[in-house]
Amino acid sequence: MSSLPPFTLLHPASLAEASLALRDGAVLVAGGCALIPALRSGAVKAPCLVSFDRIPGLNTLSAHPRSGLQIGAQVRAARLLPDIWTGKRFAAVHEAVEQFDAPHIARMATVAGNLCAARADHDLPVALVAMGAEVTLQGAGAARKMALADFLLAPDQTALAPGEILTLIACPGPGTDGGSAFKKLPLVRRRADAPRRLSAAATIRYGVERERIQAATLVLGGVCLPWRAAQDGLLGELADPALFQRMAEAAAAQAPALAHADAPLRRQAIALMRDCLQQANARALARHDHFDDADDLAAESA
Amino acid sequence: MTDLVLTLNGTPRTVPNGANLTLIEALRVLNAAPPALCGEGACGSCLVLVGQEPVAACLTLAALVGAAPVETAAGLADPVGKAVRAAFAASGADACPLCSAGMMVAATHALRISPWITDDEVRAALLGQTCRCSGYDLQVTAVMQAAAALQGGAA
Repeated sequence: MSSLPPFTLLHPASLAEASLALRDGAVLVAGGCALIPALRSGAVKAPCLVSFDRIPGLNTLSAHPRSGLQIGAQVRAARLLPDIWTGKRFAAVHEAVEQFDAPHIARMATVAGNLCAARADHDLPVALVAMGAEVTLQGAGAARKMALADFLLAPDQTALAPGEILTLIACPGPGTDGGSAFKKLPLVRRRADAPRRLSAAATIRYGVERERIQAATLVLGGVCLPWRAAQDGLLGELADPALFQRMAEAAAAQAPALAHADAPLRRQAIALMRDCLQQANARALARHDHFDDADDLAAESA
Repeated sequence: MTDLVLTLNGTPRTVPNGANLTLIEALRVLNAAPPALCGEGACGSCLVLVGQEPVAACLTLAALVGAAPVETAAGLADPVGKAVRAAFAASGADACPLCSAGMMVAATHALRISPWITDDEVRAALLGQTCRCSGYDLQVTAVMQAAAALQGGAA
């Protein structure tokens, strides 16, 4: 294990200061889980590192079915684990953190850093894209917002402009009768460049009558950056295991990353996506939030 | 190059030119480093407690540790740490120099949260530690022995 090349470490006290330093070629260090090995190997060259530990207002986490999930840039992944609403109604995100390879990495890594690394084998982007996450990027000027799916451009490449910092990740609420799920499967690797894992996340939302699917997302990851499958076939349908199997097969047929995959990998991807849809469906039907029932009663009596 | 002061196992220690080092390199300068094998945080062998939280020393910049107390396996001196080290020594789980330091740190962190811990919870706590030889049973048994000793002491 080699030493790090010499660097200067800055501790800016505001986003504006940090942004200024980043525009001059410095690199932001958060949890360090992706950056430190990259510095060590020479893949990233940074004579100047910027720590955002002293910038106030970035360590916020809030989750509620109505207001959604908001994750500040300094929030470490493990902080999501004891949060009750994240576990109940943003289950895909919760499961992605639960299944981090090592507990100490979940404690060290920030959610924002996990996204900014733009790696195919990271789990949180898959779950967050499925949940419809939006990221806020703050540079020297006004902040801009974009969908996480658009933020991740290519492996190791994001839409961050020089001087910009990802300050907030926000997911909309899952809806009254909505559920989500994330699953991953380690793959046996015979080549160093083969994918490490398959991962998938799904969300399903029902209409008020709780019979027909009103909205759904299915995302494949691990073998590629999060890829959203078209889910028009699910809308307005009754939940049915055969339907989920068909949708998973259609997604596997369309996924560019599986175009040249061998039959076993394709089968595993189909099974993983189908199981995700089924689990999300079960959670959508099983959710129980008391305040939503109060709303239903109020609507009935009105 | 600036010097750095770390609170290592309760004692302030100065690391010459430490501001440019990772925590594992700073601990090497102080002759207190656990083994570091993978350098990517994946094996857990360099696990130390920084402000009571387990972190991989190979991925942590020493300059970002600040005033937070750093504890290594050799310096676990509270009743929980002592119980873990005694149980590892008694059962032979500390025989391997590669993984046992990280295992003891992970176990101490879990038992400080609660000594009333189940076998599955111990395995979950040691999930980030890679053992290359024994299949983990020896270490899990040692942690359960330490937990039993602590429960007896707490009752």
